[in-house]
Amino acid sequence: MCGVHIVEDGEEIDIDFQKYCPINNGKLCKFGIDLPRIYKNCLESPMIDGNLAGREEAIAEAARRLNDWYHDSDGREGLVLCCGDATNEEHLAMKEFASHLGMKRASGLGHVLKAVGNTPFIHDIKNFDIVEGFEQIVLVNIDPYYQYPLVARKLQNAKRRGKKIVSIGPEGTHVEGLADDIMLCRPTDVHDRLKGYVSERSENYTLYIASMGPYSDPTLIAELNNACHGTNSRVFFIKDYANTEASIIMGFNNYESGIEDIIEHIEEGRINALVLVESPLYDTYLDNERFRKACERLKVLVVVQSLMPRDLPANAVLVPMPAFYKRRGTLVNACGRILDLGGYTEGLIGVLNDLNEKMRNGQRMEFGKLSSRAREIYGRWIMEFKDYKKVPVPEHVPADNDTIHYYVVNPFLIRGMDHQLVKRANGELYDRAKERESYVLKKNVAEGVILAYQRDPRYKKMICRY
Amino acid sequence: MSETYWGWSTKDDIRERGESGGFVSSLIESLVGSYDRVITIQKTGTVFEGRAIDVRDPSDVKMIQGALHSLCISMSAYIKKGKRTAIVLKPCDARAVIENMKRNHVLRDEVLLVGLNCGGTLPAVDTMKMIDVEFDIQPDEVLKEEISKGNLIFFTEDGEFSKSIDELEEKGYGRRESCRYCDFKIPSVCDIACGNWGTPAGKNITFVEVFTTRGQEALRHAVDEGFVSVKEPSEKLSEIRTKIDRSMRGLAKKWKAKVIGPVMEMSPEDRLDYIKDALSPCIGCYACRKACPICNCTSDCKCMQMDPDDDLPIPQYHAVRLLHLMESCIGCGNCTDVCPVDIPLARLHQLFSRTYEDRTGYRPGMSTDDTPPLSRGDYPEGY
Repeated sequence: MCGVHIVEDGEEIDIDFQKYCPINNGKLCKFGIDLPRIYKNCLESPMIDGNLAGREEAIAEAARRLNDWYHDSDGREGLVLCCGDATNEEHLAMKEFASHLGMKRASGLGHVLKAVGNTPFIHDIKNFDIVEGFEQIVLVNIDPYYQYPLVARKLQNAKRRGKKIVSIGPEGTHVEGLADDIMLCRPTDVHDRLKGYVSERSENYTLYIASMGPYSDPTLIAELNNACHGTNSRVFFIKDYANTEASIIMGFNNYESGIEDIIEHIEEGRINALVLVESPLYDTYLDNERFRKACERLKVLVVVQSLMPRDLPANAVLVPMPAFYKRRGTLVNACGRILDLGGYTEGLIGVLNDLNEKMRNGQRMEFGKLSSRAREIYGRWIMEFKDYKKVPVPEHVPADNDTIHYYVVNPFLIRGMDHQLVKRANGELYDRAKERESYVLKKNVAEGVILAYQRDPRYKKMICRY
Repeated sequence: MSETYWGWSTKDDIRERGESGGFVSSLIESLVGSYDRVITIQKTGTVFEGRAIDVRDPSDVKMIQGALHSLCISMSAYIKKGKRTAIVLKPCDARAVIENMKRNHVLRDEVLLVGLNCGGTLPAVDTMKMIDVEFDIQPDEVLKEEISKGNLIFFTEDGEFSKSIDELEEKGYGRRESCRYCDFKIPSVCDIACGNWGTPAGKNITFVEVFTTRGQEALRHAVDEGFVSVKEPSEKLSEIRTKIDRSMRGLAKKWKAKVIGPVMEMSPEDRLDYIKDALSPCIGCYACRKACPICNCTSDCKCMQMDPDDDLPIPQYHAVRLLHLMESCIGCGNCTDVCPVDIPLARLHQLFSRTYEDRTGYRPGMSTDDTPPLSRGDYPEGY
């Protein structure tokens, strides 16, 4: 996670560059630069079924609905879904909260964890400098310039030092001029190309860089894991959300399904209560109409988030919580270091305590105790850096005629934010994409329709492929 | 006007812990309450970590003592129009404030500028790596650091570790590139300038130069209220201070020839290729604009209307910035520091602005009375 100072000056919010941060030397991507605008748009108004409400009122209504569900769930499941924008302490608080209500917990990574086990995905990746140390670097289905500019910088340095860079993935990933070898393929074929590449290669000292998040293909993740098993190679999974790694370390997820399956389960009625925490999927899932409609079938939908929603399902009780930077607690960054977030509010823990109090559900959760437990769990984990264990590779589901979802994940997209250079695909574009032949394929997982981009010509070109 | 003094804190603890007798710390303490904001840098961990703070309470002064050469924070961004602000800053920050005064973003009457002499700042992360490799010490072992007589000195519980900056810079460590060729070492555009050049060895004293009546008043207040003591400096050491400044500026000139010279000597075609190549990794994050202490325009600024990666030889975003900053870039190097793809932006901007300065004699950030030649229609030959 990159270091940045958030400067509060009365009503104004600004950033300052944290040049001493060893992860990013103070350097920030578009998202980091845009943080002031994002934080200015933080959510303030609670809502009940589309109507503005007071905070107390929203808490009471959410508690009442959850309590009713607890006493009469119709034998269906309830789910607390948080993709990773929560502190370690908040993850533990959500576990406790869900446990009292008899709900399951999902991070959106269930499908991946089902494939490779609940194992940490950091192995000897101490900092980003390691990127420059490998003889060969393989970019797997990522656009470093757009998704991870700070890794792109390390890749440039590696190239200057004579390291070989290979890219496996679809067109338009801006690796021309960076990669020595570009293996173009359709998004659905990345795993096959990777498998072929791994079986043919002779180098043993390779760093693979790939994305990991709710839209990742578990087959690909398993292949990458196995490519490193018993070798000196490593895979650096860059997670989509701020604290995804900790959601694994803290054992948050116990629902073995990804977002696609979760939507299906809601549509089928298997899930009828959902607590959505800092995961505005109704704004960010590319077929957001489908997600919103699925949510509207729920008996209970409680949304707890800090950002202003755009397309909130009509049946939601929306409870605001403080912006991420304001929350007390710790995080585990992409390199496995525990960091203090530096905030000063109880954040989600405060919201969950208020809900618990209204429901007379369990004891008040104390930040100090959660923090000690989080550090204890982290301490055990850090002592147990494991080797890559060989895992069975899930069967690759052949594509059918459904729409392919090819997410070029970046912080704006997963938080449903507009940006002057980036805008989410609108309905028209999405429908057009579905009709086009070349990428109109997909089953279950992962890849995703591209975003729409307002001004940046590079991305307009990408959209044209659909 | 210019008056010079030797100054020190009257409080024993500040004098002991502070840099050069704790004069600046105690001056800050004396200003709390007289200004809406008193802004300086606070150490937050090791000597490599810190942030800008608004000192609200005199007791906060204990958090701000000591040299922090690795904390290169753009201080001018913390001055807000309408707030009376006393601020401690480096010479380049002070020049940025002057440029902002010209643009009416900062009002002269609202600010007290307490400048620190500066031989250069260090990149924090590289310096942390350097002390491991070159000094065999870890960042959290460093209790204090100092630059003295061309040496970089780190103090730990085990003693003092010193190496020549020249030697370190030969190895690729040392000061930030823009600091190497910066030739503005004593911030004479401030109300007060402080530093350890021209002070007796081992005496924990600050050399203070006062340039304005506002500076005089602040100093008089600090003396009258018993925060600091001052006395007239010796003539001999005052001359030594002048010599150090001259020598530092001479060194900067050599660095300028080394860093910018080769690009200046290229043919126009090669120079254009050099600039194009340098800018080619740009990812359009706008961090350079955000970090620039001069660019205080809103998002409606002309440069923001341009794509950073259009198909033109030099992207228009950068072309607009290169031209706009040609007569206002003060060479602080913040743009280079924050560029996520390591474009040497400060070098490019200085390439333009130093050429402009050579041709017109105009230097940005030196006086609010200066008008840039292009603004008065006084174009240099060849433009």
